[in-house]
Amino acid sequence: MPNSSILLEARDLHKSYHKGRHEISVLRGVDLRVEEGELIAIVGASGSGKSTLLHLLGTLDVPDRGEVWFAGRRVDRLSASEKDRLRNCEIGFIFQFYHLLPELTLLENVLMPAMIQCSLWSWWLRRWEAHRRAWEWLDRLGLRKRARSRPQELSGGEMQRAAMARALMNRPRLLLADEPTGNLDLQSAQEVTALLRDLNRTHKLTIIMVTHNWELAQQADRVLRLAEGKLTPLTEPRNLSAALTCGGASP
Amino acid sequence: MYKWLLAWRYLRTRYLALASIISVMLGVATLIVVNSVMAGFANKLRDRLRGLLADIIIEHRSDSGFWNVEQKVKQVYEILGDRVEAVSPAIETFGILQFSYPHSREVITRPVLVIGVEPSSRARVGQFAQYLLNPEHQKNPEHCLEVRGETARRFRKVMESMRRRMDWRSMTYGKLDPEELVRRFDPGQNGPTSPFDGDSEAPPLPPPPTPPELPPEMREPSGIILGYSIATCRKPHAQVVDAEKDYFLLRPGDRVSLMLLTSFDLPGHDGTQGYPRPMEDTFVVTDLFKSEMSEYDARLVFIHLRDMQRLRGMVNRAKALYIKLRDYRQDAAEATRLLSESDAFPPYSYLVQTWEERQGSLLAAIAIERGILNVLLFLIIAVAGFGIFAIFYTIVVEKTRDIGILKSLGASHTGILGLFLSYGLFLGLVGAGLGTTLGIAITVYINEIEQALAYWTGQEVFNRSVYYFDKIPTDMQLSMVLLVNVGALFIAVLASVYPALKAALLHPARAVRWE
Repeated sequence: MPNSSILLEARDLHKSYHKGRHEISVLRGVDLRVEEGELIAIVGASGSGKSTLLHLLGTLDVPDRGEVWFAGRRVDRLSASEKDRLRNCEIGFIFQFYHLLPELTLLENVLMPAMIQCSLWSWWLRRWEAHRRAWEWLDRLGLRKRARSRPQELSGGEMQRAAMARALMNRPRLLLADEPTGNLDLQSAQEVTALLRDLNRTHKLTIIMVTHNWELAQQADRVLRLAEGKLTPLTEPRNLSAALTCGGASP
Repeated sequence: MYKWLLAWRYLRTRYLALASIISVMLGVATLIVVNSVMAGFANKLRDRLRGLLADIIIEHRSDSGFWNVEQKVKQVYEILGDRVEAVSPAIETFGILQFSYPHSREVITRPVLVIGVEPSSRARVGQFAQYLLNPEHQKNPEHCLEVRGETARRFRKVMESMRRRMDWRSMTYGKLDPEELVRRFDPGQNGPTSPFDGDSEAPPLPPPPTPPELPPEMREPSGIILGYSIATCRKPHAQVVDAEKDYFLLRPGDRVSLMLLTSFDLPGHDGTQGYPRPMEDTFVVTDLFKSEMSEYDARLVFIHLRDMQRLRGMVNRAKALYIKLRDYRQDAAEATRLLSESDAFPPYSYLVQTWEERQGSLLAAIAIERGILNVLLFLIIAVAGFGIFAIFYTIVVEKTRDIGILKSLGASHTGILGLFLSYGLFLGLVGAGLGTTLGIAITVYINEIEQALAYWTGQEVFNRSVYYFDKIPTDMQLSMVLLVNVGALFIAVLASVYPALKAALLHPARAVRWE
């Protein structure tokens, strides 16, 4: 049984994909222990399996072998509906391309996790509370004036902040960020980096992020490198720089 | 909650879905219009058929009919009691009608179905009076076959002049003293005239004497009512909007000659087995009969029952009894059973039928035609269903990443399934709603639309000479509209099931990565 301060633990994770007749082994025994309130950066070359690892940790995918534990509970073998509940209440996702729903306004996008959580009746009862929380996050992330705008009317930085507000809407304990600054200009990337650090410090939010951003990786408590299907810790800035440039990845 | 929100937004933002909505809309509108018009036609047809007949018809199987009409009518009242509203005797037979067109003097001959009726009682058992053109006769049908006043005087004058000019071979039975006729032909005095009468103990009928010939001037003129299409013909280039579309070949007051055969079953004058003899008489047209059913309007002529009895040698006899019930729906089956089982109307001599049984094949044909047409038209919505399926499938592929996002946010399989089924339902609802509005509008204004089409194209869309309806009849039933809508919604939802299932079963990680 994992330690009580451990929020997430992955044990000997294996995952492979089939491409035609060929089997591509992406993860070959990944072990990871993440404590509550930790900010972890995972770096690695493109195609090294970083996003796959995040999907396994976030129960979007199932490992071929190995175990994933969340808050003392094995989650890789949960039923589909239990995984849905876990993702809705305990885990937040941020994607490189924001993945906002284009038919909805920013406010509705932020409200979406709360809507998914509620049935029609309970939404009717709890809608004011959900709206209050959504406005709080929009305020906090500087998006109040853009609340009624559609995603396509926003800049990349605004969209990513909106995606963060959506991920944080149901107060998750774990935030999984898949290259959150990967599609942003320098200034927006710095804003998002600062926000993530701030969230981690003020809200004790546990964050695991996959990044090519040197500045963002430097903010992390721990930096891990995924190479040849295994995670290895990086402590020296020299190693970090080497890891980030490995495989042609841009900082 | 999110399902309804997203389904609604997809509906508003995905213009591809418009194609599905239009196809559902057109299917629903077509079904409503066609069903309403068909129901209108069917109802009008049923009204006309029932109006021309009666609720129940008792028909004697022999050509000579049954004797003692009054007693049979009385027996009907005794058997059915309060259920009966009116009873009317009748004789039907085929005849030849001849008349000369006043302008060209050409003699026109028409085969007709001659019905001998008692106008007052006939008006009570059906809609006979309503179909007469003369409003006076509609109000007082008992006088509809009477020739009075100047017309009668003119008739007598013409008859006299004809008598002087030609050998008057018709009017064999002429107008006889009723008591004399009863003495000669009444089976109550002389025994049954027909083996079907069932009175085997009655003495055999002696051969009747040859009827005397009466001078025609002694006779009162008899009236005849002609079917509208017999007395008229359509103007060649009559327009829909024309008030006068028909030429009148005959008008009330004109004379026509009617030839028919005496009853087949009555004994001959020489005492041998009877044989039919042609009888001819002249009648004065008193009115025209317009049921708006071309087949009937072109074939039926009505004369008084007593004239029919006189011409056919069927004194105090009738072929059928037409019965009007107070409550047809409630009593028809029971009344038919009581009559069929009674001794007064044994089944080997009498055929007892409701009007629906009598017209069963025609009504069944209409029902079958309507059913087949409905199936064919429903295929239109089924085609729309395939359209929805194809569009949905495209939308699901297009929305794969959104589905992945929703799953990463915790949306369940059933939630995604519900989202796309709701979307299908919305498409169906909007399409069916618009289709219902369009269908109702077309049905309500169908005559105006038909006139506009006829005006623009120069072609008559609805040929009034076939049915003689002034307007296209429609009957829009709420149940039919609801059924069509439910069917359309069902097909719309059904068509979205597979794409929705596909969406629900998408792998979340793969969906998120979808480009």
